[in-house]
Formats: sequence, C-alpha cells, structure tokens
Amino acid sequence: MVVDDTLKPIDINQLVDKVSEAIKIWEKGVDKEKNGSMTDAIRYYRQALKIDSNVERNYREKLHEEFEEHKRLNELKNLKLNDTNDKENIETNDNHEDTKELELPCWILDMLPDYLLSHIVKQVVLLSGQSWLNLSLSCKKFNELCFHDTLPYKTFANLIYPKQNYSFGSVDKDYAEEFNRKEVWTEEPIQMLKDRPYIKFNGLYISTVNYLRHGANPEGSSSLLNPIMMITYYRYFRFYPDGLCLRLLTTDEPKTVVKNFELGNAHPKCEVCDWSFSLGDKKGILTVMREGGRYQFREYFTIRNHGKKRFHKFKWIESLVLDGEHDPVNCDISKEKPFFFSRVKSYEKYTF
Amino acid sequence: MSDAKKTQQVVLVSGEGEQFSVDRAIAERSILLKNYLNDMHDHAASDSDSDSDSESNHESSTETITMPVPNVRSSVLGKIVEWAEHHRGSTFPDEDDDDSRKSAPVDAWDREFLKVDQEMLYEIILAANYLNIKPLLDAGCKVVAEMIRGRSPEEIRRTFNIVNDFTPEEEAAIRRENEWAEDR
Repeated sequence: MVVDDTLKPIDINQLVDKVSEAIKIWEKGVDKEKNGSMTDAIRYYRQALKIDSNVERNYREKLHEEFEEHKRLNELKNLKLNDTNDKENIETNDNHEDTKELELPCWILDMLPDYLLSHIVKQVVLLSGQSWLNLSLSCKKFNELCFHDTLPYKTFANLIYPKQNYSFGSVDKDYAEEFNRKEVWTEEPIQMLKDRPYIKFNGLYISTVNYLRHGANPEGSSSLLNPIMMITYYRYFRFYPDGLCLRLLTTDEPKTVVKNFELGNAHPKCEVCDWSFSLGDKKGILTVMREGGRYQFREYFTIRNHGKKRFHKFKWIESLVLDGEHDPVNCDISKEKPFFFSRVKSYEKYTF
Repeated sequence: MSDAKKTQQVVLVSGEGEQFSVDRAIAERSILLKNYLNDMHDHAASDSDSDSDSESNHESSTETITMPVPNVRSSVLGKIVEWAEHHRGSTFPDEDDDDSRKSAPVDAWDREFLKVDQEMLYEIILAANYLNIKPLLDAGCKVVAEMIRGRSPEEIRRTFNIVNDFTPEEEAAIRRENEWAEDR
C-alpha cells in the first residue's frame, strides 16, 4: 500500500507529460495538413498515436476548452465595457460638467458632412481593400458610407477593371476596350462587381495537389519502407496588370515561395508567362501561355466564386501543347486541383 | 491673367474679422474666390472701362479688393493662406481628371503641413471644400485615409473616438459579407 501511494503521483505526472507531448506532436501534424503536406502530417499523427492512443480525443477536448475560454473572455470583456458605460452614465448624472471634459469628441463624424466623409472613404478604397473593410466595421455610419453607397463600388471598379488584360483575338484593342466598357456589363457598379470576373494582384493563386504512389524502398532493397507514399506538390501563379504572370510548379510550401516570387527576383524554377482574359458569353476564361523551345503551352481556366469570396478560384478547363505543325496535344489534368487565391500583405504596394 | 492682376492685392477677412492681405494669384487658388473675382470685379471694371479711359483701368487693377470669408476662422484661414503661398508656383494634376488626382500620393510638404490636431485638420478640409481648393481638399482626405490604413476596426475607433454601435454578431456578419473587398 505504501509503495502504491508513493508511485501514484509519479504515474500521473508521467501520464500528463505523455498526453501533452502527444498533443504537441499531433498539432504539428494539423499544421502540416493545413498546408497540404499529407505525408508529413500522417507521420506526426502516427508518432502521436504511438505515444498516446487517445491523442485525437484529447486534442479535440483541448480545442473545445480553448474555444470555451475564448468565449468566456469575450463575455468578460463585454461585461467590463458595459460596467464602464454604466459608471459613466452614473457619473454623468451626478456631475455632468466634469465628465463632459473627460469625454473625447468624435470630431470626424461630428464635423464632416456625409459627402466629405464619402470623399475620405473613396481615398481609403484607393489605398487598401483591408482598410475599406475595417473602416466599415468601426461603426454603423461608416458601414453605411462604405458598403451601402454606390461611390466606393464605382471607385473600386474603376481601379481594378482597367488593369485586366483582355483578349479579343483579332479584334482591335480600342474596340475591345470600348466593348468591354459599355456593351457587356451593366453600368451599375455593385452588380458589375458581382458578375464581371477579375484577376487579383495582391496575392498568389495556389493549387495544392496530393496523390498517392507506391511506397519508397531503400536503394538495393526490394522491401518497401511504406506501403504507399503521399506526394504533395504546389502550383503557383502570380499575376501582374501588364499581362505577365509568374508560374511555378514545386514541392516548396507557400511560406517559402511567397518571399521570392516577384518579377525580376523570382524563384529559379519560375516561368514568366503571358496571361489574358477573354469574356466570351460573359464568362471569364483565363489563358496562361508560355513558350518552350518550339512548343507553346496554353492552360485554360474558368474563374469562379468560392463562398462569399468573389472570383477566388480557377477551375481547370484544359492544358494544351502546340507545336505549330500538328494538332494540339491535350495534357492530362485529371489529377490537377483548382487554384485558390491567397492575399499577401507585402504584394499590395507593388500593384496599387 | 495680366501681371497687374496677379500682383493685385486681395484682403481676405476671416469670420472673426482678421484681415489677410494676399496677391490675387494666391487668392485665386480658391476657385470660389477666382470665379467671384472674375465675375464681380472684372465685370465691374469692364463696365467702367466703357466710359473711362485706359488710365482708370490701370487703377482698378492695382486697387485692393476686400473679400469677406465669414465661414472660415482666422486660424484656419491663416493655414490656407500659408498653403497657397507655399504652392504659389505649383502645378497640380488636371483638376477635372479624376484618375490623375486620385493616384497622386500626398506631397511631402503637405503631409507635414497637415500634421495638426484632428479638429484643425477637419476645419481645413471643410474650408478647402467651401473655398473649392481641390488639391488641398484631396491632400486632407488622403491624410485622413492614411490614418485609417493598416488599423484594425478597434484601432480606427480609438484613433477617431468612434463609439462601436455594432453587436459582435453584426460585426461578424458584415465581415463575412464583405471580405471579398479585401482582395484586388
């Protein structure tokens, strides 16, 4: 009994250590899975499971606890705010003049009429999309001016559409511009921004592809290390308003690619391509074209929404190789995955 | 505009009655004052031309014109005059060309000049709007926009003393609905 009593606390400590170590490894796996590296993720998951077979349940419990804690913190914060409001109200009643001195006036909303506030909103829209959204979240008045008035949408439309590189085949460019401006799209900017696709420049389009192949075997041996192996690779596109784009096919993860992915300072495996956008039957069809020796490579995509995010996704249509003499050859795209847009903060200054 | 008109003195009188004597060319940075001076004074001068000789015309060009600007406080009018004096020789992008105006960054001197407290900044914006001085109005609005740039909604509220009148649910809904606007 005595021996048992002394051993018990040690066991618990060891158990706690094991559980938290397993969770830490499991979390590494979750991170890898988020980035699309399934092989690495599975390795971490297996390692964690070996240490603690209940790791998945423990991890979920931990997530739940964190969520509850976050909720409680928010409630507490709101309570505190209400408390201070109440106190202020009481003080205002008690000693009106004193508190008046302490209250800071909101000069911007008190002094400026709506049309001048709209002028400021317009400048914010020109500066940054994120600031446009953040300003609209500051209060109802700014939300009204940012998203319930036509002017900011018009400003945004005038900013992004002239930067698109439209192709009309043999049609004269001036005509194309005129056509593009007046005939196809409604003049109403709120609707136009919903209907008329556009390419985004302040980030990357990333396609993450996972596929399984038979397992690896060490050199000189016929025994497999793993029965199967999951391969993860990425396709990246970065577009520029002048009709050029960077294309990269690599196993490097987004966080390492982002830093060296600009024209003039690109990853060595990067290819510089031409892109253009055609607007046949009101659908955006993106063409990315590159030359290689006597071949020309063309990739075609449709541009789609992804939930509330507009024109956020490229869906493969086909990938062709042309040599100018024979019929184009269709490349197999059955394993390919769609591209999704990811904003990169540092790209903003180059594009607008 | 003839040289005589350019150097012609205009006395601007602020809301408090303080007088600011400036060259007519400086006063004419304000399109409101420019139109007023052209319409009222030149018209009156040409009327008098018809029945007087050229000498009296010369006199009318050198005489001082007094222009009350009752909607603008002395401290603000002083700042506006300082801005116009600094930009005496400046040429601004075509005022009707929205594209060239909007894309120009804030001039470095203007940025320093507009480093004032918020109340003064908005008074300058109001006065620039009233007097119709587009380059100053644009610079003022751009400076405010830069105060908003890179800040979270809470930081924007703190910067401008804005009271949050959203519930957390409303805020989340607006964010969801409009997050498309962040990407361009």
